[in-house]
Amino acid sequence: MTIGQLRELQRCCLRATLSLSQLVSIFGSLFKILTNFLGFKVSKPAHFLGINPAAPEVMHIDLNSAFAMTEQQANPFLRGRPVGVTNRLSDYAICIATSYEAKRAGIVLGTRGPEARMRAPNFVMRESDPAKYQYVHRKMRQIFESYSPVAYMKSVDEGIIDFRGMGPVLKGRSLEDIAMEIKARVQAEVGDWMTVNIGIAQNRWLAKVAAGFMKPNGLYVIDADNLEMVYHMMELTDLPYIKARNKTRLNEAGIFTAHQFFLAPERVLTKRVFRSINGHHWYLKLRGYETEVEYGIRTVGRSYVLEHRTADPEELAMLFHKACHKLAWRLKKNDFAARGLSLNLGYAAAPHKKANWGRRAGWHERQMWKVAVRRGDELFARTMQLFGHSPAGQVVSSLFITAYGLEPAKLDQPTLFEDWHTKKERVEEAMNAVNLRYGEHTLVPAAVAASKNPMKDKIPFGSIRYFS
Amino acid sequence: MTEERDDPVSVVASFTPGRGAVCVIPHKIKWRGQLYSLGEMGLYHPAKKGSKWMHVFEFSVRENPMTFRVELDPEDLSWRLKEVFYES
Repeated sequence: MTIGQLRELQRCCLRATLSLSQLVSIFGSLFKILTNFLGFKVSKPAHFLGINPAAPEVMHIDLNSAFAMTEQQANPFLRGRPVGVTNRLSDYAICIATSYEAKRAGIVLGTRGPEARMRAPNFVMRESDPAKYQYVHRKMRQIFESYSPVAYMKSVDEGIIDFRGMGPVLKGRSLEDIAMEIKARVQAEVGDWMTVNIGIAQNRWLAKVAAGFMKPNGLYVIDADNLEMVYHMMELTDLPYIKARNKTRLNEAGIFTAHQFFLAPERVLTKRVFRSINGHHWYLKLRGYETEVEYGIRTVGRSYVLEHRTADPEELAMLFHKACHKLAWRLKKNDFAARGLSLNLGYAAAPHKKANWGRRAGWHERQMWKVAVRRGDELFARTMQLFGHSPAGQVVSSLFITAYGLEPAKLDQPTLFEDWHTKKERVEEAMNAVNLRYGEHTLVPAAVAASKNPMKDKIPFGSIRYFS
Repeated sequence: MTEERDDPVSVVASFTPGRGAVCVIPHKIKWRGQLYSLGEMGLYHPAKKGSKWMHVFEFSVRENPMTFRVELDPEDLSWRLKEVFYES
């Protein structure tokens, strides 16, 4: 039975008005019976590390089709209809998120508006509204934080609640029961159209696997008893973080299924597949041991997809200037200065050098300096230095500037007489104060005021660190 | 079809004290000389505009198959219609 068949079975059961808790117990029993019946006992080498026997106490909550569902919540006419969300509404806009109804009609990420309307005539495209998604994010975080001191959002639409060590507080209450309560609270406190997938397991990665197991509106628990069965039912690319590149690496080592991945010796993962400590981490996380470490802020970046693609160096310089001011704002907010800067350009045509991000044709360059900076004009000067090495005449479609090598911003030695550096600091502080009061881009450097590209904030897909 | 607007509108709203905050619900909205009454509230959410938090309400109306997005400015308590969605 594949995941697709399972999901279809779940939909059929839902139509037959079975509750989720009933479904979970049915599937749990089914897995146990199947495991016992089929006897999935594969001979393992003596050095094989067993599955983590700890109780599943980590909960992963994932909002279903978050952006599209939030749009459906906001507009009652969109409910039950195929909906797509795009960053800028135009005739040829691409879906960056789709509702479940759209997915069922074959409309996926990257589908253009006209094609989507051909597939589903009642398809509606909406422009993304980050304020709405941030609100939903904050509400979800509030709900999660009311259950455990170790609760946090991993991204805009998914969060973790860690119940490890909370046994006495739970007083025998099961995590399935809490999960059902969370589902009800999300509907009551965020919106009645909002549904979440919940997964419970021994570590965060497995909890994410469990959450993706019975979409939409699912609840699934992975423990030491059913873990191997779960791997038997999954493809390699069903596993979180295993996409085309990692799949190729695994295939090259003779690993073609999720279960073979689970059985692979640590040495193979470390030396042949991932060729780094990542192999060891995969070996552990596949068995339910915790490996994920939360790092603080290590980079600060600003990316932008150009509305008006251009090869004009002056227009590009204006965009760099704008992006650097945003970057400076973010560095200042977190009290950082950056020594390193990286510039990635995505090209609309004629690739010069393959960039490392995605499969887009583009160019990238990075450099580390001895002195850390944090002012917009200093970052801009360094960006232009990097840009000077890029091939001329390329039509740029996207840009991504990242500040790395972050260190705490040092207070400058006060001087008796104001120098140019102090003056520039004060000008930037004054500009920031005005923008904070009246809104972003109220005051911009004269050099960027003529830019045709507005560079508005759009959906922060990955990071949520700028939300707080 | 979506139409972006930025029109000042008159709104009849209720302000009910709740748990730690006042619950505001717009009931009637007068736009282009016509009165519309609240059908179903879709979503309320705050949106930052400079140092202000604007209150944004998205709801359907009873009279026509359409939804409104209206914004309440907390400083001067003025309402503006920001978007109209026509169901087609």
